[in-house]
Amino acid sequence: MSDEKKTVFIVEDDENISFLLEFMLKREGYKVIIAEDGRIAMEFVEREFPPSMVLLDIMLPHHDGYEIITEIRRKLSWKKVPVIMLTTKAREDDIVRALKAGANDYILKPFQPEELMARLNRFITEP
Amino acid sequence: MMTIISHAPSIELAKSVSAVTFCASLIILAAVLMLRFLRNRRSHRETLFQESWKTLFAATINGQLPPDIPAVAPVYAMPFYRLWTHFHESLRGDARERLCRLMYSAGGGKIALKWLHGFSVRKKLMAVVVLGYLKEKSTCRTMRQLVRKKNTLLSLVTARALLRIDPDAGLPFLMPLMVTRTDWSPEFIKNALKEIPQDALVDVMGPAMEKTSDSIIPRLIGYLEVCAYEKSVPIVRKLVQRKRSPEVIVACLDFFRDPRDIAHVMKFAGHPAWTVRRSVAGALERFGTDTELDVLIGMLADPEWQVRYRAAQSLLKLPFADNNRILAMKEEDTDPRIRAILSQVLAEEAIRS
Repeated sequence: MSDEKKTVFIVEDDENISFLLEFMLKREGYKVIIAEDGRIAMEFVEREFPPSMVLLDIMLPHHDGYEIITEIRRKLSWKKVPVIMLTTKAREDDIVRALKAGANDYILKPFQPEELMARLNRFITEP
Repeated sequence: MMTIISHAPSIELAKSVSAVTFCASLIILAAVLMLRFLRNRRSHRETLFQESWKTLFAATINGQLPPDIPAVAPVYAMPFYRLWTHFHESLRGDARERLCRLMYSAGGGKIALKWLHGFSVRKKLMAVVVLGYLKEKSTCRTMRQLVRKKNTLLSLVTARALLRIDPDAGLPFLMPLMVTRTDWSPEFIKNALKEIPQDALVDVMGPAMEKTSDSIIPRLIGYLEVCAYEKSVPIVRKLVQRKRSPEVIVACLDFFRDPRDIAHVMKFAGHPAWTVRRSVAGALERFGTDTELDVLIGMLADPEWQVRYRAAQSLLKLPFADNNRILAMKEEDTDPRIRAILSQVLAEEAIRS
């Protein structure tokens, strides 16, 4: 990893899970930004520079994960940012919808921390 | 004049009553404020407690179980369990094992064991959940008593814990209760059954279906849906061959998804119960083969409109369905019932598309 820390943008309304993700990612040397609902995430996408990676929950207050990823893919500067969707839904339709909306990968909850880190590292180190 | 009025007995009484009411209101207000203050203080302490433990949990989950885990005071056991179960339910794999080690290191297991034998139902419920996740086999005897309690929530949560602790012993024990406890939510049971090995489930469900009454079998067939189709379908095939009750036959027909079962389904195309014939039409749609197309077309003239409606829906949803052909069929047919039901489903399809 280069000297400049890579940034991961976490959009997750469960504060315990976002705390855990933040802990894991910081331990791996990433910089972490958290949005706890869809509205904050949308504002961040609108105003800020793109991060290296987005971890995006599907079920969120105000705007769901599908709306956010649509916005990410619409915005020129964010367009190529890898997005991993986090979802408790194991239904095939939801996964297909997430991938169609532009997600690069998905993780089903309950998740294995090691698996999440492996997938995330793959996208960040092999863009 | 004023002095005379102020000394009237009724005025004195009113003054006394208002004074008492005022004092009582003050006392109630003070009590409400005190309770609010205590609740907020407890909530604040619990939040601080959870915040201080979150880092320990996160480190543990990532394989860095600290050597000097502080013991959890019983007064903080409830917020500790809430946080622990939340993480446990959000994760899978080795992280869960690490969380179990953390629970024992912090003395949470001992407190849960005490709560299991206590009087508070709230604490008992939490203890059952925690001990279930810990797979604490020493609690099975107590849990087998709890699962028979009239309290639906407590018995259901305990049933789930028993399945987590020892599915091989728990399932045969719980099966008779699953049959008789009509207050148990089928969805809750299904979710509990999803966690146990499918072979064990099929081994117990098969004999249970043979013994139980026809009114219960449809519910048990619903539980089989948690297993892979190939594992569970032999049980349903046996049932559909032996049972005569329309409710059981409907549940079996609704279960079939594989065209290899077409012979089992076709046997009931002329069944006297319309509910069975309707399920035949539904099964033919799921099979999606053209071999029995004539049967489905024949069902459009069924005396029961629900069968005609289902058959028309199935015709339209078949993978090789051609709306123009169905439209032509409608135009050409002289039976007004067939024309009406085809018009209905074609109109519904037009709205959807």
